Amino acid sequence: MTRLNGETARALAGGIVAAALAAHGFGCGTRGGESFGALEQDAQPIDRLLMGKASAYPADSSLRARLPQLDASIAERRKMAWAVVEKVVAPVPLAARAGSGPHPRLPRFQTWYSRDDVLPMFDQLFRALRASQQQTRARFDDAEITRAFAWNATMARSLTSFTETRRTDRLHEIGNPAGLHSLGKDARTLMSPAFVGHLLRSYPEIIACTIPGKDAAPTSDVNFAPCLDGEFPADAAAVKMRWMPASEPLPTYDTSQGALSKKLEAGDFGPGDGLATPDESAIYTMQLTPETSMRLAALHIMTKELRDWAWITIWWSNEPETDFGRDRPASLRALGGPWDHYKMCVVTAFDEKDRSARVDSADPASWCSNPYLEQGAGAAKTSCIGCHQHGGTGESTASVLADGARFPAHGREKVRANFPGDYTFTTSTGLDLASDFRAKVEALTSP
Amino acid sequence: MRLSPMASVVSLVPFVVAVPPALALVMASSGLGCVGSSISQEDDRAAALEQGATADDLALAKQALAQLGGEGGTCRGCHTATPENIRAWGKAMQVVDAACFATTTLSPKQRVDCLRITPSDSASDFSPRKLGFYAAGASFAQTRDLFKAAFPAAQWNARWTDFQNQVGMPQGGTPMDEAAFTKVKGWMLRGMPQLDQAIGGRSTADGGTADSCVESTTPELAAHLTAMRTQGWAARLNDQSTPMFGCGAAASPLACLTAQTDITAQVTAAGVVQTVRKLHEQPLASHYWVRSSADGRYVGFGLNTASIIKDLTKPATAPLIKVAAKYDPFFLPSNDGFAFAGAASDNTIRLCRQSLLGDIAGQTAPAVSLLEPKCSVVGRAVYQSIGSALDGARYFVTFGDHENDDGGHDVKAPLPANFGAGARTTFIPMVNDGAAYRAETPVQQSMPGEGDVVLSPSTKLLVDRFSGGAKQGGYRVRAVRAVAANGATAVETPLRAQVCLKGAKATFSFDERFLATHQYVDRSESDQAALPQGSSNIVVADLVTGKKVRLTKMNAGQYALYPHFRADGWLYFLVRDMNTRVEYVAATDVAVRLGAP
Repeated sequence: MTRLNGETARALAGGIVAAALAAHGFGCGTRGGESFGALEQDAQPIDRLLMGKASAYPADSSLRARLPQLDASIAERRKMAWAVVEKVVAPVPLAARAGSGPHPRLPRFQTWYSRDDVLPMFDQLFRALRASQQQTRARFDDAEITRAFAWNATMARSLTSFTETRRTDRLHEIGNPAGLHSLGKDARTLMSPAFVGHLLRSYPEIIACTIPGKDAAPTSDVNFAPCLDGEFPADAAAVKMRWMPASEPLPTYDTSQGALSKKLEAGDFGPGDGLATPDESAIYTMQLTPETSMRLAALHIMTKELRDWAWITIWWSNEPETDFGRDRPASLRALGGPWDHYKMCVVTAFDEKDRSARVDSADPASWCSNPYLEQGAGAAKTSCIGCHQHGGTGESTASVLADGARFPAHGREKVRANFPGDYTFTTSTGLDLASDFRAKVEALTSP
Repeated sequence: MRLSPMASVVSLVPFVVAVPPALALVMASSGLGCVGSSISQEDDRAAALEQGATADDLALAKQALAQLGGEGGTCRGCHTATPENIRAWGKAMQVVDAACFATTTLSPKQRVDCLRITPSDSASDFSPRKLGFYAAGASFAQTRDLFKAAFPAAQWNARWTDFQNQVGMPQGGTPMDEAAFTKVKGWMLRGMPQLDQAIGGRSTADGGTADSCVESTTPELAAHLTAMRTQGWAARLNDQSTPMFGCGAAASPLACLTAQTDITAQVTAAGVVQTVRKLHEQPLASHYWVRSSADGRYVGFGLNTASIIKDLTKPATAPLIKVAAKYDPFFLPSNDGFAFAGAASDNTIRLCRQSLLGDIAGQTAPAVSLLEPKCSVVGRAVYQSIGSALDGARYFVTFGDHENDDGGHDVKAPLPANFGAGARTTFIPMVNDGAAYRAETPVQQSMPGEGDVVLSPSTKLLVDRFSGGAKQGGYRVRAVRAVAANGATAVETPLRAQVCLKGAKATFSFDERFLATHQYVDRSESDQAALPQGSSNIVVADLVTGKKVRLTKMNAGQYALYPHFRADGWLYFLVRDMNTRVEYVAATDVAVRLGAP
């Protein structure tokens, strides 16, 4: 049975921030079933043209040295995590502007790259190789990748689908905040420039990947990701979002100690404890189509500032100043926007070394799970790092949760000695970029 | 449901076309020549029976109508219980009953063979079109006992199951109970007395659902087609640099597929400018429609008891991908998913990520169970049509009243369009809830006189066939709009165009400008008088210019079928050659040429 342990409970009751916590993480999953039909294909070249190149994630190079401290103290860890959130949602200027007005700004993560950006860049890079290089799967060099990012930012103008009318129509649509927030549309997964650069650089390993057994030793002391060209760089970051239609009330989740204990015991966040209809001032909102607005209910963040990544997730709350929102720094509120309506949890290791933050005194596995993203039986008990260790192995959320013998503690325990995709699901199972890369390579090199 | 009436064929073409010659021989040799000898004798007998009908017959007829087509009726949702359709199902049943069950000289094994499409061929498949209403009783004692008697103990159950899989009705819905089936069967075998009276004396012909065709279009359609040129799935997939099969580094679609065999001269109709390539050939095995992925790489075939996918990038000798489903392959316009109907596990429609096909490509015997984690259930029907959302918000899945179309096998002449006043199509709104597209409550849309609905790739349009009296009237193109109504989603389908063309289910090109269909030859049509009966050809209609082109010139016994576009405008189609027992997939660039600026 999973329940908040006594120390955590006391910490919560005493109003100690570190305690709010009982649970944290990037968990594992969505409620049953696969999604199809362009969920990841919403960004369009004209949006990229208006946004320009994605904004790099400003990594904190000091974090790795502080890992023992972060692992041992939930308070320090949360402080670090709020700082990451702040950098991820910080508004950055876009390329386009209407007339001579100021350049509009978007949260940094919204400028990041979707699958729709990655595939044309890959196509551009691979076509540029000589035939002999294509046959041998030659690696792209960094200068070529840099040029591909620049090309991608303006590729819209080279497409037959481009018209100046479409560009000006879109510019008009982003004239108000909700319209502006729709740039890039509601793709679920976005990746920082360094993340995408590493994927492009790694295509030879990605398409040729043979998944090693879980106990196989890492390639070297500095590389546990055999299906990539080494591990991601420190400024690699990615987000996964859940945008929910504003046409319906938003379910709310009580994450207080007692309520959360029950949810963890059940293993399921359930359909919600109540309903809310927050307006644009209270929740980040985009006008997806003239008829459809979407609310940002949840945002997972993973950054490679730590070798095993920092795993942070935020979710909207109708009681934002309680439990997981109680220690939110004022600087986040100062950014503007509704970011002070989101709660947060974080993990940095498989085992919870701050005993006061363990969800069960008998279970050392760390925990953090987002009620809007980790849905379905067992998903509430998951943890980002636990699930993501299987990134690139072909395992999925469903298969991890379904096999308690192979993946103990709802997938939270570390069971692998190597991490083929460096903890990411972008190459297989999730975005399936390996399949797309392979199809492109085969199409251009087959006799 | 696959129950598509042979009898609508009866009303349109000589009876000898609907009844395979071999079956006619069986009937004749059994002394039952009267059954198949003349449609007028059959009608006379039915008429005589009807004249003598009683109030009991009227009550029974009403019960049968309710059982078949009433609210919750067995056939509802896939077929309209029009008088024409009911007569068709009943008359097909009468023919089968007389030939295969009433005849006393047949052995059990001969009776089973008699039920086949080609009775002289023990390997021939079964067809619901041939069995008529018997298809609704496939799982009951009469056929069970027959198979038990016809085959050894170790075989009969598997063979009976195979029979049920091929013809059992309804496909996916709630079947009749045996008592109800027996009652309706008895009424049908007695000539369906009081049918017209029970239905209120109305038939399609006078029910207000049969329309003549007047060519039309609208400014709204023109605006939509203009938008789709730059914002449709063709443009979207091109923007994504989607690798198209056979294109390599080609700069234009016209330079694609050059490595494939050129069969232009062999199949092209006079005056048509196109290049036709043969992509894949195999022994005749498939049933119903064939579909391909948006990138043209994968071609799916239903075999009735199993399905296969050909990966065209693999050598001709490479193993086919086996799929545990019966038929109706479908590939999403977004090039990221595929579906089959009649999944072996539970007879559902299952939709899977297309990357699953890449995952298994290296296997020595690649197979898809449709139970993989990358697959989900999306419905329980056949002839599903699925689009992909362009705006990230909503798309639709549809199925509904349809005509089964197993071209070359048991359909060799124009399909009827007996969609009555009660014809309906179900629209399932698939709405993005941020985690996945979730099915909202299905909307049953009344579409009097219309059926065989196929969605456009964006699902912003549909095309259907409409009744035109004795023959199909033509096609209607309608917009598909979701509207909120009392907290739920309703669907509006305003008319956008009418295309006066005869053919089977139509499909849209990815820019939604072209419609393609196959046309079973009807020599009574002036433009087909010189074509060989018992063949079919591919036809394309341009919704911008109104131009219609018959692309192929098939010989007798050759059926060009199921045209469908890939994203760059190449049009794939299947040719079933019933003479040589071979089928092949071909591709034409005609729409690329017609659409070129």
